Amino acid sequence: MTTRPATRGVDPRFLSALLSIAWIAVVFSPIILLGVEAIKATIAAPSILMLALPTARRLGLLVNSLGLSTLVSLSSVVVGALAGSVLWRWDTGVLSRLRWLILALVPVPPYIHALSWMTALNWLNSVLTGLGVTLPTTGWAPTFFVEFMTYLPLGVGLALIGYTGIDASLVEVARLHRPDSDTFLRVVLPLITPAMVAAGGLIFTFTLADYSVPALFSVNVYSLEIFSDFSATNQASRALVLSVPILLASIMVLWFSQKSLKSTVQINASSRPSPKLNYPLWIRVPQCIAAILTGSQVLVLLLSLIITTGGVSNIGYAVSMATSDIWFTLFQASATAVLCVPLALIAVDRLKNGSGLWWIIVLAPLGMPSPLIGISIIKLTAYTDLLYGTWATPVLGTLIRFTPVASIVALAQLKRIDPLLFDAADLYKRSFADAWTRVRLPLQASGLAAAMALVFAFTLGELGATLLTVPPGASTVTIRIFNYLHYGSSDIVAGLCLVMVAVMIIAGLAGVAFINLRADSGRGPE
Amino acid sequence: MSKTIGVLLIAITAASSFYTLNAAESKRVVVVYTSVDQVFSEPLLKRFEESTGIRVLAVYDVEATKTTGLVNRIISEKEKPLCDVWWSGEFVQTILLEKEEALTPYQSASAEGIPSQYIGANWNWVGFGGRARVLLVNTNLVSPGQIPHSLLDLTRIGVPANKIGIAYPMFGTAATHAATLYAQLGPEKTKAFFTELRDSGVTVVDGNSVVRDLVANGQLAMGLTDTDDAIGAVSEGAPVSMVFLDQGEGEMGTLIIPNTVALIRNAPHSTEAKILIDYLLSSRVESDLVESGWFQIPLRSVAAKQSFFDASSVRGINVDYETVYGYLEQVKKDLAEIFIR
Repeated sequence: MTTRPATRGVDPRFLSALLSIAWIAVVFSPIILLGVEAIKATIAAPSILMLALPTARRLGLLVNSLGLSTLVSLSSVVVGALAGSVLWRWDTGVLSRLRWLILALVPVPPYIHALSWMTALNWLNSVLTGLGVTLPTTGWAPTFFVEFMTYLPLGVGLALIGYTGIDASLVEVARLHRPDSDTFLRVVLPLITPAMVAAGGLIFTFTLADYSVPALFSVNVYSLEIFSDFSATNQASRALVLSVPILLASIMVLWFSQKSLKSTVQINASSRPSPKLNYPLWIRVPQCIAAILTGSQVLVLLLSLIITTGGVSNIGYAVSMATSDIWFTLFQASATAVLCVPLALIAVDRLKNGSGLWWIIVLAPLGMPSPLIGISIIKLTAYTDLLYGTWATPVLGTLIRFTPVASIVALAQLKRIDPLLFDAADLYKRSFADAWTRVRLPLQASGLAAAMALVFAFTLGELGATLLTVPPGASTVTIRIFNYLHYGSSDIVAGLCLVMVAVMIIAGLAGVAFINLRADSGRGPE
Repeated sequence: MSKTIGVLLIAITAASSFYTLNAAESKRVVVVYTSVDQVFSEPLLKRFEESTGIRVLAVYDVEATKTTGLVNRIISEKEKPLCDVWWSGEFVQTILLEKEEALTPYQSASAEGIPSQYIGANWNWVGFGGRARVLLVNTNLVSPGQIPHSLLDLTRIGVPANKIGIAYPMFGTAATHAATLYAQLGPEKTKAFFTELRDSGVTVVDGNSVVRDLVANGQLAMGLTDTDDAIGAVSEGAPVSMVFLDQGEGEMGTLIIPNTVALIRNAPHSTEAKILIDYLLSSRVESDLVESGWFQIPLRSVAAKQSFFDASSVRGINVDYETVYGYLEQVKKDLAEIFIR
């Protein structure tokens, strides 16, 4: 008979409450402050509430936005899953590292993707003119295509994370009994479903909040209406109320998609090579198309940036003029990526238990316009006299914006882990810390690493909240990119975008080296 | 994992300490928030640092935030300002800050010679050099006979409307231009003009710089933008020319948008702030900004070695800036109804 070892430490319920309070204080209190202001404004002028109910023109914009976001997220997920299955086979040599380059494109702002595709479309049109064919350069078609291509790296990247986390032995066992096409459809795809659902939810939310790409192609969406109203009235409370439909749509999509997922329990990702499935033609053709689309996204963006930059000396010039910005950006992205880990762990612990209120609390920042988050941080830090005007405020801004991303990704990965392992750790733990450091964290390490990589990438490209919170005298690469974009220095803008891609690659390589170091020392879950 | 996080936290703390110490190394500092393009403003601010020993901590605005950026930051920081000097590329945002009581008067000796119409009430702000609204025309696509003479003829000159571009008129200087038309022509006539633009299928794009790029690369035949944007295209050798509209006798002229500079109320470094304002309002800075192409229409006589056009020949709309500001919120709401659908 096994006896349960004696445990020591604080009461878990007390600790849980403490952690919840800490989480709310860091991530949600600025939003509470804005909410209070909105309530005050509503009491003073109840008609503001009507802004939350989109009617007539605003309803049309919202329907357009929801349609575009749904189409972009579904397309990105399907193509991402297919392209990811191709990259999954690249598991040896240089290709096994090269395939992760796709994630290096995530921090490049959507606007830059759009400009690259605009250039490509114009070039294509100049070629096609002779054939009497003209591709549209404004309207819904190019808007959808460019939004889809912008978020495709995220879809493919998360799919790849899902594929590489699959226990190969499960697939091999299935192959003994069923054809490879069945194995792919009934075993492999369900195993990556949590990652793909997370990708779909995030892409839906990001597309819904983005006005920059649609505006570039002369398409109007709901988020532009929010900015237009904010620009006219300068009232954050009105903008917050106007954001309610976007907020609700984002929360509902992410909540229902994650709640409907069943756990796809695996013991652990296998270190064996990925199974080389023999796909039938009807899977190979879509895989090929998906791979070509993904390849063209990488090529168009990188080629456009390299050609526009015009040479290594120009990249050197861009780096030299933005050196301090690069350091500050690195600091902000690293700090946000690290600090989001404990916050994501706390959030995941509450989300997995299914509390609806926690879903709203955790996901609300995703649907809020980024300048409002910046404004709420200014007000809160000024009011409390904590961290006001310091280096920490932009980190707080990106933490608030991207902790939901980290939480969703970590939760999706958690659904792949056998909960019995956690129960066993709780039962046999010597202490609370022991259970976390020896079992829980190592088991969740891959999910947390993926979350950190994404948060790092998104922080590199963040603009709205950072502009309002960056300490005087500091700046980020993204702020400089948009400043020079207005001036028309396309060579410097392209050079700075390549710097962002390089930073992401270097950070990725450092992360891989660190994981390899740990694997070599045999430090896995016990 | 926990040790790793611990090590990273220590690294972050060390990095943050570096930034804190770095920021504090100079005793005399001044904080400026500016919506003037970094490429123009940064060299001037560096020269100020070199000549005075006062360190400038700048925050630069970007067009992409749709004028919801630094002005809202100043308003939010109003009770505990971090900023000392606001340097704007236009005037309506500055008047907004004045209405929000975020500014304080400062009568700079360097403002001598600037006409009173460019000085805010009680010296809350001072204007010091103007950009103008201009029609940028692609000379490969438009013949001289197709160039409109008046803004109101924009869609009546035989060029397909979808080849004519404007920036969203709810944001930035395009909004200021629309508010000026409200003041000059009246709200109904102006709304009718913009409705006609929409109905005819004019291409509405995401900012003046996009208008410039699309005209320069031939996707648009012509478009309304600011002179600094237009000069960017001219300097790069694009086949474009600048046309100032409504310049005939008795016509309204084009909008001239002055830069504005102001001292922030309760500025933490007010002494240094006044020195910076004196510097920015100096004739030398005004001529430097003309030569660099940021603005082209000095508000007083300054000697510039190079200019991109004869500023003295440009007729500006005679309009009261406070009146223009007064229309701005209505303009943005009206035009959102017309264009965001």
